[in-house]
Amino acid sequence: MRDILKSNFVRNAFIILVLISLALGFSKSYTSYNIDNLDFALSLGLDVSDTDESKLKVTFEFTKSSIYSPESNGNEDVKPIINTVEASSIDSAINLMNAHLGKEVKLSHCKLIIFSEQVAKKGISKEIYTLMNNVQIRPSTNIIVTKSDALSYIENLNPTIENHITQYYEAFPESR
Amino acid sequence: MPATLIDFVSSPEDSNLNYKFGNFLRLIRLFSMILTLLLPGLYVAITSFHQEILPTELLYSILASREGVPFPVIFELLLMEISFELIREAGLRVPSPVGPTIGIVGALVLGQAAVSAGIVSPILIIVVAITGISSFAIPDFSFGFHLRYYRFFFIILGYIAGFLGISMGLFVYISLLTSIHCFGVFFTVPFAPTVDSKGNSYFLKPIWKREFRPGYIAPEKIKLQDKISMKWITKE
Amino acid sequence: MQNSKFNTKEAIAIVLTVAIAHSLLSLPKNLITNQKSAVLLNIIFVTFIALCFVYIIYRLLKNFSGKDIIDVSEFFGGKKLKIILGIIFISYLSFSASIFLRNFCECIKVVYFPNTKVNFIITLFIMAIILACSLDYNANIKTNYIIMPIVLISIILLFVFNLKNFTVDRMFPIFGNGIVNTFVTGIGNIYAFGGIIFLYFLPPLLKEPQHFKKISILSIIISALYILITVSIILFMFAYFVNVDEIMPLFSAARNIEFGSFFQRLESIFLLIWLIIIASYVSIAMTFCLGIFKKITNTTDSKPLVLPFGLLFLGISMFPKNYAFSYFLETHIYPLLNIGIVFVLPFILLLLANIKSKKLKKRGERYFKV
Repeated sequence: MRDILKSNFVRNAFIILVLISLALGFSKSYTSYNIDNLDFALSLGLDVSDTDESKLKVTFEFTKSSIYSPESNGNEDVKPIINTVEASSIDSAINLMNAHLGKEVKLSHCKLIIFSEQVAKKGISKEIYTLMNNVQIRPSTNIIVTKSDALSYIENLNPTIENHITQYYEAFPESR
Repeated sequence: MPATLIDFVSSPEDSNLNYKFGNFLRLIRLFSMILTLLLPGLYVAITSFHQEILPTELLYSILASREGVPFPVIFELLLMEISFELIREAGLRVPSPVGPTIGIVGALVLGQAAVSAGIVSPILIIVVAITGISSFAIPDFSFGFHLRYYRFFFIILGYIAGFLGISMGLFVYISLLTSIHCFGVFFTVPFAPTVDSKGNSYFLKPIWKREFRPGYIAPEKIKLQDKISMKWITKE
Repeated sequence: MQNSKFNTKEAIAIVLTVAIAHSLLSLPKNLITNQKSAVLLNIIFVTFIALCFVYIIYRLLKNFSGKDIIDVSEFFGGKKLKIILGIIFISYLSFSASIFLRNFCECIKVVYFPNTKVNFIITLFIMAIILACSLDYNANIKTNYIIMPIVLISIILLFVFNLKNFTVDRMFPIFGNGIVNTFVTGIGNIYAFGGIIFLYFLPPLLKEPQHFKKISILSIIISALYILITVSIILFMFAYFVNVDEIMPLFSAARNIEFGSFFQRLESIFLLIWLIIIASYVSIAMTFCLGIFKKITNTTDSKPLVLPFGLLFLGISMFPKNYAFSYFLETHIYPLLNIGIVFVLPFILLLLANIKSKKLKKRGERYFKV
């Protein structure tokens, strides 16, 4: 028995087993949060829902990445994709949007968070705390409160000079 | 002479140039060492776990360049790295005077063809090309070889656990470096067991200031030249 | 297979590692929760007390030149006391390092690996630490010495880049919860200088034992400066009410750095460096555990013991069932253990051993029966 345990073959096999189990143990992380399985939301809009006063209507804005490739002409007019769900909180809205899109929604590059005036009047401390505790949201995100509802604001927020909407979102909240 | 880390990264021509140019070359070589070892691993770790580091524009460029690519990032990266090494090894035995050139240029052309076929993304070709070219900037052949060898471990670690894996890999790598010794002198002297190297550590001094030989290798005569070697100055 | 001795600078880096590692996790937050806005004054006061304590320890250890605390305990109480004290120190070191590792891995899991079980993250750490500890010539201590300046520079950069987010008014009221809370009850904050435990084992391992006084005083001063900088970052950036639930507050401070639109969210790059220092802290704790074990069992070679000790660390870190319990251990049990085992116990032992050696000297016997 001792000879078996001392032999190099058993020791190497044990080390390889440990390494494989480690690679398998992390498997959920590297398969689920790959760059291929993620959709990045560019902005977030919050309204009061039409049907139920206590629920929120959450709007996510995405964009097609093909306009960023160097082979595109630059003349393409690609509109950003806007999706809306009704949910009781931001986290459940993200869950619903994950189910709808198939890819996971990640808020790491969300530059704008837009509240409509109706939502703001009802009190938004719950949503602000949710966003503050969220790991993905940047601390430098801009918060906007609009008179109209957030959905129409996002739909009409089109850059006239730039082609790419991400550049526009970085520049205009900081301008004076 | 006991060989230390500094000997493997410096080339003998540095000390004959103007010291500013020699230091500039050493800085570039330091940078190329880090790139050869870590750049593919960092690329895989950032695209798998840490997409928030990238600016939004760069992220969307990467996403756009990956459209239509059927493989995940790790697979195409390993594919391109291994084919780069294959071409490099095959270029040694190409029967013509332009053999080594065909190795490098052929690799880049192959990469471009792969991009047109839609197998890999163009940004990945840039990453692999920069890694390969920086591995040529290292003067010692076996030192560059060991960096090319270890970068595969960093790729796998970066894919499994992101920056955590790369940190653990770096920790074990630096421990391995500091545990080697040659004729009783440690490999990473004068950085790890700090010895007064008398101005002989990584960056060069001007020629008139190089007064001593490196103390950590215990030479017989430690003094290289007088304190004021340009004696004609003091006479005036 | 020999183990070389340490330089003065490497020895200073060993004692500093404890302060750095703990302040990356939750030490500043615990200090601020106790003292509120008087925490800066409190740290300066505690530094003076720690300096006096270290000087007294230096004078007490000077009588036994070149011996560490295990040999002193053998002189005082025979083999039984040596074994008991050795076991106490091994269990303290393994407990503090493992619980710290568990807490840190839980924090990383929340941010980066929400879907992985925490056991795998800890196993990855322990594997790297076992690999590093099984190398000879004290490689992990040299690694620690190489990485240490980079971590210090990163914290100073964190301080400088966050200057625009500071509100210095949070320093006032200057006496916080009152003078009694700041200066009398606040003496308990000396557990921040837990690196002193490594000072007790250093004398036989030093290349230049005459610099022991310089090592001890310099390391306390530098770790005090470091703790001051980290606490002031957190005190000036976040309000204390928000402070209560933060994990890794320095990490949250690093998230606020931005230069234009390119350099944003750089905290992962800071984390790359901090992870290395944390792995080196746990590996140093394991090295000293192995050294103590070698001394109490009179073995010559400690290399076969690296794997069992690694598994011991792994077992202790997996012992808490959830984050709440390990957080409780780190914030409430660890300071008490620290004060008892690092400050009270060796002090009493050294005092009694010194009294005994003076009595034996008076009687004319040799004061060290071997």
